[in-house]
Amino acid sequence: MQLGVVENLSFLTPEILLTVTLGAVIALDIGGPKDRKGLVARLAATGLGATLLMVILTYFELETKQRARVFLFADSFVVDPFSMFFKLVAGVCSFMIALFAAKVRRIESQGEGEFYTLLLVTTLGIFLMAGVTDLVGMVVAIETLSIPSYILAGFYKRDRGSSEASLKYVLYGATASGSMLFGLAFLYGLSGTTSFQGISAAIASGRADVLSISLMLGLVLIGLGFKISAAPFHMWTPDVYEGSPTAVTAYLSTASKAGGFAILIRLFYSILARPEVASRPEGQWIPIGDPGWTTLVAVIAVVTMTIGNLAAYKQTNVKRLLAYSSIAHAGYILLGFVVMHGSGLMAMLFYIATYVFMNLGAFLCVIAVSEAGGGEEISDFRGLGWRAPFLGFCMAAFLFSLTGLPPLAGFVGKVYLFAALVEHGWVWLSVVAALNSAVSLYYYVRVVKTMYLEGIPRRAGDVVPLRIGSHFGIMLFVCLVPTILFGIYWQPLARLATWSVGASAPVEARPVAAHK
Amino acid sequence: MRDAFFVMFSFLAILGGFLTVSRRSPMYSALSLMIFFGAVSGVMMILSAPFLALMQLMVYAGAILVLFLFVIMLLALREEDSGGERPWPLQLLAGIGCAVLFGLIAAAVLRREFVAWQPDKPGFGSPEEVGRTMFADFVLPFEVVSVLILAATMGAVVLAKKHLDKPEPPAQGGSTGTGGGH
Repeated sequence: MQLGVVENLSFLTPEILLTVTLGAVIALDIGGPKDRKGLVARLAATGLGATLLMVILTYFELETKQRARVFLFADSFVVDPFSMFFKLVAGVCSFMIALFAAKVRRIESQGEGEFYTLLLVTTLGIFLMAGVTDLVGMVVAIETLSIPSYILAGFYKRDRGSSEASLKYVLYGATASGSMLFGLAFLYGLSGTTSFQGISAAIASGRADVLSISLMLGLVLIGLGFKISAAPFHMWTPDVYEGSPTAVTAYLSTASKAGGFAILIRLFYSILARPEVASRPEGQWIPIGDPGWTTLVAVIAVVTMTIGNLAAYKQTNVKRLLAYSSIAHAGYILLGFVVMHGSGLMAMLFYIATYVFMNLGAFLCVIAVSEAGGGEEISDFRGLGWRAPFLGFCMAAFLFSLTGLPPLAGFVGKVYLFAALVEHGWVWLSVVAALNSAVSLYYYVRVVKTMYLEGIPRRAGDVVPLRIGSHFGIMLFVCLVPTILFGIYWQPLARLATWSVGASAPVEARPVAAHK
Repeated sequence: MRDAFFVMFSFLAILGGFLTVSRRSPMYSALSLMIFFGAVSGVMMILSAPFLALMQLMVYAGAILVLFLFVIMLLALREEDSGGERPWPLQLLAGIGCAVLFGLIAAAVLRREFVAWQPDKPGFGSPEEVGRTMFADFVLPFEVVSVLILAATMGAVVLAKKHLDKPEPPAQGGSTGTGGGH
């Protein structure tokens, strides 16, 4: 369906609102009153909240009008439930991070205006990543996420760790982007078009060779693997996650990853696969030409989760531990990718949505502790369960959910993933993944043990309470609710994920002219 | 005739690229990069994209390279700053990586002719046609790039500015990765 420019814009309200907000943040930062403590943060959070609202409204509009998808800008951008799902996830993350960061003193002293502007730009990047169906738009969207992220990682300028994180991130990121661009250039050369549908059509019509295209997509996979920190492109993750400001780490491990998964699914499923029945993307998918890329991704997933879980064992820093845990989780999420069935995609979406809350929550606990005067080493968490009972309880819940224990959201997510694997003949993969989950229990529980079984106060009067403040308390609660709720009553989220895959999912091949 | 020019320019581009990565002194590297930019611009000219070729010369060989040179001169690197020889396993690994990459691309190229390419529109590669493509088909990426550049400018400010008047608050008990080096 082709629309004019003005109709196009009405489907881009979330993106436009984001851009307007970031303009307003800059204007307020430059021209606002001198004594405006926290005003910028509030403006940014309000803008993100409004954006979130628009995302939900657009989501509903797509549902009520029964329009599975709307193509914009000469088919280079699509608004469909699949992209709206990722926009929702990323929007929630950014909104939460904006609220966390408002109370982090160090960000305030380093310049709130810059922090929130860059945060909003990264969010815009993820929103675009969720919807692009064109190689050019894809590169621009990914860079719109990456470049501000590099700066945010080094936001604490006088901190050696933060500067190191920024430098490492930018160097690894440049290499990954470089190889990705190389692959994209050859994709264009091989198919003569930059649109995903066009490339798919070129393969279908025999103009382009599947094996060559797959090789080049392998190069693209390096760039995207870097974004989701899949092995062997995960090397940067621990150092960057540990050194960056914790609010930024939380962002990189949730929203940024969600964006990476969105574009990964869209790109590969649009070009190298098609639904068995064109109108039913929630059913079986058939690989085109099948050069064995599902096996490749399966191997990557296994290596990723194993490396993440094994390396997390000996960590003494909570952020570093969570970094390895997030590598492992990238591996779990990739499992849904190899299934080649709508149920696998749905499991990925479900898992990403639940993972975001538990991971944000875990990082929020780290922020709250360090803002209250504690540290980031596991030993700093000694006796925390007694000193700050609510925080201790939340942290324990998030960690158990990350492990995948019932009755928490992480458990349901894993069940969906493993069920999809077993159902479609990937039994060995689900066994490996289950073993990995069991292994991960050890290091998550170690933190919980440190919080509750070490430094137990002898008498009730000995407890030195750690006050985290009502702001962080409320936000912890906001993360805790979905973590528990989706473990008990997950059907609505599951239905949303299913619908997001079913109503749209990746673009099927449509006859598109090779040159526009 | 066209082939002869293509061979010449691509040879120069490879030579420039090789010199860029192989020179020890960053100054020579940057100057070799200029050879590369010039040669690529020549290739673009052959591919009937004169506008892009000119932009390549002006923006890359002109503006960006001068910026590189300025930065190198301002940093005033000495010989010992440029880092020693890499250990041989790393060099070997990098060599293997490059060889694999080359093999992949060569395999893709040899398997299949690239899409036979010819200018499909009158005036292809002219400023008018480039502008039309940019503002019609690729208007979204084009607009987003402007936000991206804004963010990059902001990032430069963040990295460069000094809080002389506002000292940082004392570090909170061991907060945020003071020991980051691993």
